[in-house]
Parts: sequence; structure tokens; C-alpha cells
Amino acid sequence: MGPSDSRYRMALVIATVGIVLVIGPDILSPSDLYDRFSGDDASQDMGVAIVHFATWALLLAFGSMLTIRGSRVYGAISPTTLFTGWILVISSISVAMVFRPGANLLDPMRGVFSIWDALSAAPIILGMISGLIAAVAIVAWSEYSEPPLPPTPGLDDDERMYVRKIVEDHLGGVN
Amino acid sequence: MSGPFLEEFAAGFTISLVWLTIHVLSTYRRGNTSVRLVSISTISSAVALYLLTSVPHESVSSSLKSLIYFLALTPLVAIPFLLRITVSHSNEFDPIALQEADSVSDSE
Repeated sequence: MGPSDSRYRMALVIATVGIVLVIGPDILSPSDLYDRFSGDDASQDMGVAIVHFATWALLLAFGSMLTIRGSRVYGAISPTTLFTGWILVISSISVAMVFRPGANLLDPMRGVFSIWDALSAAPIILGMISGLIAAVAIVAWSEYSEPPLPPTPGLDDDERMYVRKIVEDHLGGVN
Repeated sequence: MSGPFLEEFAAGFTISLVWLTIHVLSTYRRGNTSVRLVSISTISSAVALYLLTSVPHESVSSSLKSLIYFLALTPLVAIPFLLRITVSHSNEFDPIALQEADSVSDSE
């Protein structure tokens, strides 16, 4: 098994631990979460903000996946899958921009996304962009300051068989 | 929701450095990942997190909430790409189309 598979397993574990730590306590007490969701201070509650984010992000992720699967790009077009995907994507937009946490949660048009929400995040966005530039500089410096690595050795027999099996599995429906 | 500019800027800067460290550590491969990169990214993140402890908790929390609400624009950004995929007539990843392309290249 190749190194990318090992990385993939590790990433899944890290993501699961992170998600459980962030939204686990709120998911375990849904009634308390609903009270906070519809309270006056909901927009200032970090747990509420994260659960709201997770809700529309999941809808968007599944909706996008179904839209791509149902389109013609990966084979025959599937109207049902495509329709379901677009419903989820539109739901994601509604949850993200209209049904926002706060006392007006059930009065959607009063919780609509405002340009102020976007502008108020400008300093942290600028900080993140600067941090990314610094990250690229760190990576570039560490790569240029070390001698080049020797050529990667060829695949051994086990690795060659593994790659062959993957290719054959993917082409299995063709022949 | 907005706090002093520099405090929110510092929170964003720290997020990027911590992201770099998590990425480097979770994709680490012995012999391939630069030890210098791991060291520098870890030290940078630790220093940034340490400096961030001097920023008031309310300011960091407010910055993160601003960022989370800003991300609500993401579905709108995704729509043009999804629309393009939906109306696309390309089937370049279809196994049958791949087989036909393969047989054409073989005959040539």
C-alpha cells in the first residue's frame, strides 16, 4: 500500500477528532442548542455559529457532489440526482444567507446576510492572506535551502501489483 | 462584531500558520518531507499562538465569528462552477468514451 493511502487514513482520523471536538458537545444537547440558536445573543455564540456553518457546509458538499455525479461529466446524465443536488445547494444558500441564527430565526427575511457581515471580516481575511504568503515563503525557503533529494526508487513487486490492481478495477467495466 | 484591526489581523495570520503546520504534519513522509520545513512551521505556529495569547479572548472570538459568517458567501461562489458542470456536454471521464478514444489512438 502506497504512502498516499496512509496519509488519507490519517487525515480522516484528524478531521473526525476535530469535528467531534468542535460540534460534539452541542450535538449531544440539541434542546439547549435550539434555545441558544433562537436567542437574542445567538450571533455572538461561537457554538451556534459553528453549527450553523457546519449545516450549510454539509448541504453544499453533498449538493455539489450529487450535482457533479448527476451531470454528464462522469457518464450518462441523471436528472433525479441532478435535481436532488441542486435542491441541496439551494437549501445551503438559504441556510447560509437567509435563515441565520438569532431571535428572527423563524422570520427568515429579517436574518438575511448583509454586506456588513462580509466587511467586518476584512481584517482577519487580510491576516489569513498575509499568513498564506508567509507559509509559501517558508515552504520555498526550506525547499531551496536543502540539497535536492535523490531520484525516487522504482516500484517493488508488491507496489507494482497494487497499482495494476487499481488500474484493472477502474477499467473493469470497460472490457 | 469587529475589534481592533491588528488583533483580528493577528488572528488571521495565526490561522494560516497553524494550517500550514497541520498540513505539514499530517502529510509527513520520512525522507521526503523536509525536516527544516517541519521545524520552521512548528516553531512559527507556536510563536504565533503564544503572541495571540496576549490578544483579548473576546477579540479573537469575534474575529472567528466574523470569518464564519463571511464564509456564508461560499455557496454563491460555487454556483457558477456547478452551473457550468450541469450544462456541460463533455463526457471526457465516461468509461465508454475513454474506451473509444483508446481504440482510436490504437488504430493510429
